[in-house]
Amino acid sequence: MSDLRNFARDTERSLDQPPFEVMIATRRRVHRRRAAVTAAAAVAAVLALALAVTGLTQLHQKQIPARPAPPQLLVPDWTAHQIVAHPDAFVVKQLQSRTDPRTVLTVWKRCPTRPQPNHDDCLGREAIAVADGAGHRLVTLAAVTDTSQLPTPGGDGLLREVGDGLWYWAHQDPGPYLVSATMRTPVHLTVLDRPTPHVYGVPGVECANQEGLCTLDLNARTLERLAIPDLPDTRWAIPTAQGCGLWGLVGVGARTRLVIQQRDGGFATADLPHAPLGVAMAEGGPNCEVAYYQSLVSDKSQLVVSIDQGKTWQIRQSPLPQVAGYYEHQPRDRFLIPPHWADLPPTAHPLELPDALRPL
Amino acid sequence: MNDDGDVVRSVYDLSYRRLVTQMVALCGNRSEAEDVVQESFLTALTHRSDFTEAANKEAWLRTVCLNLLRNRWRRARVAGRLLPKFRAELNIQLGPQAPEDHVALVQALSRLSTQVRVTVVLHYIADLSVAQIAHELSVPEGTVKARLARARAQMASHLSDHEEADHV
Repeated sequence: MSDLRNFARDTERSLDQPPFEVMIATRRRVHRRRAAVTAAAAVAAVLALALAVTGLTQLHQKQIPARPAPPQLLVPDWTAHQIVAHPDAFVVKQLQSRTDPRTVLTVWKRCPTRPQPNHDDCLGREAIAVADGAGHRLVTLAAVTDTSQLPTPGGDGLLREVGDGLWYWAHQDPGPYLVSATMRTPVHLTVLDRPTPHVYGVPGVECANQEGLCTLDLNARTLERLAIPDLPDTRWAIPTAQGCGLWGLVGVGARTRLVIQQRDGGFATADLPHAPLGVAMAEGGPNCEVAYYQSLVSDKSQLVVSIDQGKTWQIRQSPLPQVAGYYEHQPRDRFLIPPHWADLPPTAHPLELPDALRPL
Repeated sequence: MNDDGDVVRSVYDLSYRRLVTQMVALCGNRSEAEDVVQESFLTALTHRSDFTEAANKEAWLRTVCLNLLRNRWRRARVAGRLLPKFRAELNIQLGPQAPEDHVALVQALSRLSTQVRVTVVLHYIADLSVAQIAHELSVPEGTVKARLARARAQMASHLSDHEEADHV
């Protein structure tokens, strides 16, 4: 036991963890190289076979035909109903209303060609259908989306329920829209792209282009961009609850810091201790918690929570969120703070706390 | 879907070192362990919908890693059969700083059968309970207990003091 524990602890500590983007880029390069070698080997094999069969002289007399250009794939201008009702269409995602489970939003997709096995995506057009239990139904065209190997810039957008059976579709051209079963056509939102200061406590949502943060005014039907600190590699914890400030995690790998909105509307930052292991935000706290998970050796993680915008911190021992299922997939992948986190036991050997807040 | 790999990146931040450590214990080779773990995260990106639906993301990645390792071992066995002259010797590479007792431990692990070794790593290094291992490997709990008992007998010096505290 102790031998294996020591081995696990020492090995974990001694590992260099490359930044995620670097690691993925390296792996993709390796794949491309392997594919090129395989292709070259295949061509060499074919040539060798051709030489063996036809003889070198014959090969000299013949012209090798040029490789035909791949056919250009276009997505037909289907209507939303031609997508939803078609037997080849498939469901991309289905969201149930939080308040009425009979109200369901379904994203359908139809492709000119069938998707590849093991890949749920293909070049095609999507349509959104919202239906409730009272027979109301809205069907509208959505995005043209590509494959995961070559994603379209806006993807298929993000759908967030912002009212009872009312979804905000964060997507541009088409969109951004509000959709609900009782609408006859989707409501187009006016985008106000000049950044305005954020008032503490007003919930933020994703902007239509999914860059930065916006506020959504359902009455005025506007989507207004927020003036937030322009920090590279920031992941914002959105949506925040009504009455809570904005916060996020800046940086990747071992060097990370929190950016936290203060009650006066300004932003402050707190460096996280140099983390030998990983850090991830713990979002969705109902009491305006700013929180993050920090991995410990073994199967536990440390949960670090502040309920006063980063002025003081509490530490709890938490199960790993990726193992315990403190995780939400829709509308956006994120780790959640454990329910009743305050009842979790304290950490026997807590890691360092974040540094003191500094104004931005 | 337009998740931008956020969840994969978050799981990478939290689970990368744990998974590499588990794979080092399984294959005895640090660079090979890093290779299969990194490959598993790329697989998570290309099979994002499967990954996002998995409740236990680390178990999903571990399964991919184990499959990759098994494929490599199978290829190595075939190559060894075809070209016995070039059959690779057991190649434990834990890095230049690795203490001798770690090398000895991994050597002891490598003498276990693959099934038993996987079970030991899940129990003693990933810290999974017998029930969790049974679920992850799709075997009865009794089988897990039997494999752990067999491993304890074979690795007595390394595992003996785990008897009282283990999850069995």
